[in-house]
Amino acid sequence: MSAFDEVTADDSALDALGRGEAAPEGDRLLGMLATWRADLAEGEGAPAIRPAVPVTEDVPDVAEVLPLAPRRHRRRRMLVAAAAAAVLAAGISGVAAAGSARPGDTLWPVTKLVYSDRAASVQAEIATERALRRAETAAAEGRTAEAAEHLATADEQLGRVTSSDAAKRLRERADRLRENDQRVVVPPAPGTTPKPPAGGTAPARPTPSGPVDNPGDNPGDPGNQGGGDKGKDKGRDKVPATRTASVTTTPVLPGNGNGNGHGRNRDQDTAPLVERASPAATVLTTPAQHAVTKPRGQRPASPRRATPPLTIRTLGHAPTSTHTSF
Amino acid sequence: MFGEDALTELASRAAAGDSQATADLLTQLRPMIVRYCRARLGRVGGGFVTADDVAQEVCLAVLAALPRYRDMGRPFAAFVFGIAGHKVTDAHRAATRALQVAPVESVPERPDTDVGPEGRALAADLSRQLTALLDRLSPAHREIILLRVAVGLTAEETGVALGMKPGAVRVAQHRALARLRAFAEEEVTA
Repeated sequence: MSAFDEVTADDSALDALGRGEAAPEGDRLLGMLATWRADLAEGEGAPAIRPAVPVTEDVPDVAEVLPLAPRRHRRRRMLVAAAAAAVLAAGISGVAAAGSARPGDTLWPVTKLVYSDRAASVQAEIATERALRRAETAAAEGRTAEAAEHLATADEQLGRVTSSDAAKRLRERADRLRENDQRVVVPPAPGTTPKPPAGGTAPARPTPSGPVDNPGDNPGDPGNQGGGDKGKDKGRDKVPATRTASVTTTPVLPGNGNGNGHGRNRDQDTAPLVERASPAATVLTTPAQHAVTKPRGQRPASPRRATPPLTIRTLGHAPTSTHTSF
Repeated sequence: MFGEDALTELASRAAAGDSQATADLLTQLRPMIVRYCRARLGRVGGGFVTADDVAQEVCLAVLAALPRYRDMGRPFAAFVFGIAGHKVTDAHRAATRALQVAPVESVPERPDTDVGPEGRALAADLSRQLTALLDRLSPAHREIILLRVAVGLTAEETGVALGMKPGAVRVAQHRALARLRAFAEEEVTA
């Protein structure tokens, strides 16, 4: 076989292999080449590629679907808006509902935050109620001093109640309590009652049936013209001072203080003054001083406000709000 | 296979915008391109997936280049396998880049270099042996064998694709086969 024949033979053999034909028997290399070729063509029978012809049938579907997309979007947006509106409405109504919340309610913190004025009023209302209840209980059990103390607290708290309904209701209740238990409440009636002797003689005569003064019923009482509960409180503050003054025989006495309102602790009052004076004098000196110093600044300027509308005989338990020494 | 004229004529019609001709052209070209890429790249990672991906890229590149193709006396196969050759080279470059050393905190786990039973069975495979033999050929000879056997081009088409005269292709393929036979003898005796 010439060299040319060998070249031609190889050429035709490669052509056959290239067409994917089997290799002739006996030639190991050509057999390997044929196997290699078959290996490379692995999986060739599978659908190779999609036809490159443009697809026309699917187009209507696409045209149908396209307008749907924005509509779905719009619906979702509306859902979101509705949800937001619902949340907003819930929040607003919650805050609005918080306006009438009371301590212990779920919305009470909201009330304190948003309606702080109303919250303070509600708290004062509750405090007033509590004080009134205690006063009633104390009065019913005969602890008159305690009852008077609670009543004073109630008056003080009542001044902070802004709700007119509640204030009216509570004031009526307090008034009723004063009327019911005349021994607790002694009318000051400063204009009508005689002044106590300012000297060393203590007002030893108990007047259990002293005129009961309901501040609202006494138009002539100058202390009422200020109209404030605080005015009442202030006036009452002075009472122990007055009383102390008479006990301790301090000459410095406010001019219109009165000592005739001893309706209550009759037993105490009837006790020898000397005995009582010794412990009480030390204790009550502070209020006395208080009463002395106070008029210096205030009394001459506004004598009207100084008149105590009520006189409460509470020697040991004078309204304690200003008595830090207790 | 099909005639050189048929493929070139199909390509001319496809370049003119005949979609049916484009479909037929791709249907005929793709197996050739796939075999070419598989022959060049082998089983990367145990399968032809990488080679087939490259083949897909070659098909896309051919489609993209189709409007630029004008029948200028050159067979279309030469045009296609010029593109395919470049794409395979690109794939090799990309693989090289991906293999570049990147600093890591810990030494990564290495695959077991022992071939194992399946690997030994595969190594015993004839086509594996042939791939090893082909690797020992010169690049020019390897490309000729590849185009002639794997793709199935004629000596004339191979010559056009590689810029050689058909006679030179025939002589070169003869020498390549002779060398392969010699390598195969070495393998057997070794």
